[in-house]
Amino acid sequence: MRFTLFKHVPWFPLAVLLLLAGLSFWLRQIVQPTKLKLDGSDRHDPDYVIEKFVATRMGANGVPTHLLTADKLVHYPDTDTSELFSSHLIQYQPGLPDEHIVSKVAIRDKTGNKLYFDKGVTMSRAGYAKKPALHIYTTNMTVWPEEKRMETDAVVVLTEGTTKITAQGLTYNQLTKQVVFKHKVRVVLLNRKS
Amino acid sequence: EQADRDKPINIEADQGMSDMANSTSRYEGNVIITQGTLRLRADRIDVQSDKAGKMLAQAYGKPVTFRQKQDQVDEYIEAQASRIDYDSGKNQLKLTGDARVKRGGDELRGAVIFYDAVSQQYSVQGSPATGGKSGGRVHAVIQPKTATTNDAAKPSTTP
Repeated sequence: MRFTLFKHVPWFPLAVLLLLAGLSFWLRQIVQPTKLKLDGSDRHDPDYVIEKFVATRMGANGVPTHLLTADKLVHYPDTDTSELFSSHLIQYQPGLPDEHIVSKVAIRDKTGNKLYFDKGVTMSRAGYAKKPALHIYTTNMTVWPEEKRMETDAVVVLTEGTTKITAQGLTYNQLTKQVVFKHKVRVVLLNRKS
Repeated sequence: EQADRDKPINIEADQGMSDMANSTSRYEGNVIITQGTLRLRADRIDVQSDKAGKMLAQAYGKPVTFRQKQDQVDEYIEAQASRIDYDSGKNQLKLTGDARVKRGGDELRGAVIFYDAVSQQYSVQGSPATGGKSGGRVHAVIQPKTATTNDAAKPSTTP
């Protein structure tokens, strides 16, 4: 008796109906605007601002390794990043002149180990021993202060005494003092007499 | 030309790497050095430069080619070798490995050629005999200097 009842159930139309119901539920989910969270975490609003920001990083031996300053630091909770205005990073090097990186704006990532300097960047180091002063000019530069290295894909101009080098993209390891010019390298060695 | 020595040195390359501590650099990929009328093309160049802008360069290529205008004559010296060492301060070149120098119709070939762009003189060495093989000899082709045209035009006075 149960078998005959089971046989007479219109399975195909039932399956089609179930499919349609599922489809319409899925469609509704898709077009539904995501609900705004009331805690403001999906808006890019700062949660704190520091004026005259100064941060010194100490090495294991108790000697400062680098110093980061900015006129203003603004922190954003949604990305856990900080935006620094008139930013200035000083990299200390034992026995050598400091290396200064300056730009209008810098973004510090959530780890705090990576800084993206933007809107015109200048890196400079005073002359020492027989070596003239070194300057690097570019539009943006990513710096890893802890690892003492920096990199950009923008056009860079490097000057050191009578040498001027222009290239597309650069990496600079401040520990090994190795600079790699990625593409389109143009070097001019000005003769002291010319 | 003598004046080349005081001109700025320009280097173009695809990539480059500089050791800022020792003022040494390496440039690779279609490397071209120009200084006044001097022009040198190579695959790779290692450069040491000093504060006065003088440069010592070792150029490597298949081959490295070099070209420079001669003083007071509208003539170029052309050279090539597997390696060229260039001293911009002394304006001297050392060509090593299948070295050739061509000036006008004259040509010199040997294992090593030294060229002094100031005195515009060069010396050439063959490769030493090694392992039973005979040494590479020096080849020189020196074109006769033909009499200038006005000498030829003058009628001979002797009966």
